Amino acid sequence: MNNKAPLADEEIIKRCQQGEKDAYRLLVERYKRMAYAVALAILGSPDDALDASEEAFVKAYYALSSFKPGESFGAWLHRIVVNTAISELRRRKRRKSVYILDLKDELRAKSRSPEEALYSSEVKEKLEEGLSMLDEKKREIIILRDIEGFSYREIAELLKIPLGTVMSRLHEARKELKRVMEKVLRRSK
Amino acid sequence: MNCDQFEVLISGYLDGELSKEDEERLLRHLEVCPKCRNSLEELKRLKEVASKMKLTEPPKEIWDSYWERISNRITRGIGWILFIIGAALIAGYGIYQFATEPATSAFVKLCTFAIIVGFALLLVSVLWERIKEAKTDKYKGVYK
Repeated sequence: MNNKAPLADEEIIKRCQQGEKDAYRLLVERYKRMAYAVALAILGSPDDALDASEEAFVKAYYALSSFKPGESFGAWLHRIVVNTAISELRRRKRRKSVYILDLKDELRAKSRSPEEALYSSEVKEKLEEGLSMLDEKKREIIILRDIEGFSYREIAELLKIPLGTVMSRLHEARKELKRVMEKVLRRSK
Repeated sequence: MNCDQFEVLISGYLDGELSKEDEERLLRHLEVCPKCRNSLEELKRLKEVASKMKLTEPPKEIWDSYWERISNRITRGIGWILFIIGAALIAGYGIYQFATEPATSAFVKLCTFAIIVGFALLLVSVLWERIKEAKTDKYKGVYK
């Protein structure tokens, strides 16, 4: 029988716990975007985020024996990514403010006038600056929802918070982002 | 419900995550509240801007070899663990054999232990200093 349904996280974890290292690849492929996005939200540098997310996956692999059945792997991994990124941040003492956003490929591919290109690049810079002025939790929830497109349910599971808290935290984060972007825009005029 | 409570629902409405009941309640409120309508428009604009962006990604070849690097790190880690366990066991066995071997005089044994302990102390103190230095080095963030 050719069963193409994706394996559940718990099934993959069981295989890994039995020493099948290659099974871990499925989990890595499934969660690497989330791990990278969360590390990037904290560290602010793509290179450091890549390194921290990889390190978190390695730590998670060695700690798989302590993983409790019934727990969400995503939420468990999220905590490891956050802890890894925060200790890296403590080591560096400050968040790097480099480019964490790009214009989506489909918009970039369209032939645009130089004015449009300049406008988009300015908007991108302002949004990046605005995001860098938020605290980690707010920046993270905006990146997960508005940039990466996670659903409220997925975010609630990752962050281990109720759905209502996702909505209120996201709203607070957006309101603050709007406030700081207005400040950034006023300053640049 | 007051405006502050309706405001929270605005985000859920923009994301299509509200229940039918909450959506109807919010829409009825928006008809009569210009402040919340304004808030809806502002957040809609912000969401539109954000929706045009994606996270900066590492180059494709780096992203494609993500698993390979993790797999290598895991293998290296396992290698180190095995190496350290093996080395510790061999060292312990060697020391035991040497200490219980009757042919060697007590003086030679004592000198050999002094050398081993002295070397271990030197190694630990250098490692300790390096770790402390790495934690407090002001220039470690400066790359060549």
